[in-house]
Amino acid sequence: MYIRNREIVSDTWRIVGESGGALEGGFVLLPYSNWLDAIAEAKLSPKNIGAWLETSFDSSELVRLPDVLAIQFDQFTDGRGYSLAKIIRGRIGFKGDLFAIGDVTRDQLLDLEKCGFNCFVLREDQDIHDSLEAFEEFNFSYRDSFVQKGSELETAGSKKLRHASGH
Amino acid sequence: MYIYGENDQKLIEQRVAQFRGQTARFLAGKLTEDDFRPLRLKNGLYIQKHAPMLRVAIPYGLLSSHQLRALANISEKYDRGYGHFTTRQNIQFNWLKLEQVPDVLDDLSKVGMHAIQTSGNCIRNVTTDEFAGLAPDEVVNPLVWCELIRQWSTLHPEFGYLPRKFKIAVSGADTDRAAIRVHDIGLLARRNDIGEIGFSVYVGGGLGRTPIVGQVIREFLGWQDLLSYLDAILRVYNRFGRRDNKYKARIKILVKELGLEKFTDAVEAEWLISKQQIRSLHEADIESIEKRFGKPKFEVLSSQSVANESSEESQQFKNWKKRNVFPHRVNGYSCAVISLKKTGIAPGDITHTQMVAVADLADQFSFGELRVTHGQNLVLPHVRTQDLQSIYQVLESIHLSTANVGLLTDMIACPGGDFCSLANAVSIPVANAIQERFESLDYLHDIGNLVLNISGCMNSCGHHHVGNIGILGVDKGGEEWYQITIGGRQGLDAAIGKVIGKSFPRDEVPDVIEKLIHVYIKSRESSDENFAEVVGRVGLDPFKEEVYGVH
Repeated sequence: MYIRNREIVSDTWRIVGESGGALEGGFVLLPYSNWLDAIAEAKLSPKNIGAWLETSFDSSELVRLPDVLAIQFDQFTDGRGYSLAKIIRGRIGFKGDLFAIGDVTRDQLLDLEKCGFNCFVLREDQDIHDSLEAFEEFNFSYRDSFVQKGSELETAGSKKLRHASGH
Repeated sequence: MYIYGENDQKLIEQRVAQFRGQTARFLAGKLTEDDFRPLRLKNGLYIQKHAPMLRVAIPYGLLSSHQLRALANISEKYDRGYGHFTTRQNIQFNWLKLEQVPDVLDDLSKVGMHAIQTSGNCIRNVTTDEFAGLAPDEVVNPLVWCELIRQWSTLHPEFGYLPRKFKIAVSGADTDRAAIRVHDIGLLARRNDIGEIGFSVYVGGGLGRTPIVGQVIREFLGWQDLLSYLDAILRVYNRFGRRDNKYKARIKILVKELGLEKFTDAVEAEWLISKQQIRSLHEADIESIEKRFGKPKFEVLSSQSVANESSEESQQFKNWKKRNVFPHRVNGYSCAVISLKKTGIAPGDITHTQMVAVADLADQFSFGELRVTHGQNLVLPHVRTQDLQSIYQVLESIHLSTANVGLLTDMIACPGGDFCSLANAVSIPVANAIQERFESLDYLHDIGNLVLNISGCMNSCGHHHVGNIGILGVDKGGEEWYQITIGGRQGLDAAIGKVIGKSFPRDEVPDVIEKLIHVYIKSRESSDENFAEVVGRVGLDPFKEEVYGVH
């Protein structure tokens, strides 16, 4: 189960580590370099296979984009993942699903979403149903008034806000 | 005063609700200590030696009388009847109960106050000149820009988990009273040749274990681009600042390791991107903030309405006027500093009854407005010069009439080992011992302006590095010792003080300070030559000889 655009999805994305693992069966997230290899060898349909990046990933090495990307947080306090997401959305223009995976808890969801993540695989001990409340904790952000129009991908949250304010 | 709008207010109320939920989950065992720590720190809550400490934000040091009354009320209701003003223009409460903190925050939100980002690895409360908007030497009023930075940084989604804390200070006057060169980012607001407003951007200053004076990375940044440029600096820091060692995680280390040129290039490259993400500021943005600040309705007073020095004035009042009263740009008005540095009281401490009395003074004489200074004092910013004597009389009755602003006894000190679990040594008793030694006011006046700063440990919350005399608590085999530095100074020509030699046990510190002062008085060419200038001219040796004897 994970959260996608503020809703719970019952699919599972299996996260394969650098040491490898079975590729078949369901949806799989591979380390980026492994994903490049797998795509080159056409091992799987690109629809079922995405790539994950470390928070320290150098975005200039993103030579080819999968349909699905993920950023792996070893610790939720690793702010690099937030900036990486901004770069992937803003500079590289990635439009697919962007996952936050690893040490992801409800108290980070809203900020992660504002940085461009739209999918969240929560840490095991988190209650996914309760976590949805986190998206409702704030309905005003100074940030939104300083953002260049059209520069950011619309999130489920911003759509909802716009809808609510009648624009 | 900046008056909150509906959105400003809603945001802090929702922050209280969020924190109440986080605290409840922690107390119910659903949130581990490790998960809760970064969340509570971002909201100003430390777990200290005796009890949790809450640091309440006073954005850029601006405080209204009703806010000060609310702080007084909180200190009485939830704490031990006093508060402690800090060098970053905030206030701390040292004796709260964790389960009551959400209620304290609730009370604060009712007067437009909060504890957002007063701690933790995020962008902290922005600070400025305590005389902003009223100083005769001001070129650009920094308050509007401070408020803009407050809005930009508040709950900034990308920069909530930086490698380390991040402090921004803004100055807009000829004299830097905001210590901008010892901040992660220091902004000097100025005007170019054709009168347009912009900023000189200093980066990488800071105290702590590795004191460094900030350097300029952009001479003139047009005001329209302020936020996109700040975003660019922060993104470079967030991505590349060190996270492996907390003592090397501040931006100053990144600037040092990359070199100024490479760092500047990285920021400029990032700025090309951030300019497309963050829009330019418009006149309308600035006007709407200016409108919220409002303007005090000054009376038209002629210079004659200023009372001439009369024989009825007591010597005490004359001393106080000389030390604590500063010029105001409006005719007939002055700016009165209330010293919180009375001998025997911890620097920056104020009781709840004093807070209420000061709030009343602000209402009666200063348009309900107050300032908190970087030097841990309070200011009545807009008082009629003819009212000074009445103000002084009230201050005398509440024991807040100490006439020592800028003098040796007006020292900055952190809470130290009496309260803080990081400290190696106590600060407050050392400050008090020195104040007692120099209690003779005549002698203090003879010495003149002198900055003496005390920190209880290398984290340097007492800014000892930039004190003309700096005192640092060190741990020597479990005992408290004190290392002395001299020659430091703050301002645009900021300098880091130099260590004079081996450290001293606590009871010897007042003697050492007295000897240092003696050398200064003996060596200065006139009373205008300040302590740091003398150290610059004669060097450390005469001071060392006096303190350690001739070898």
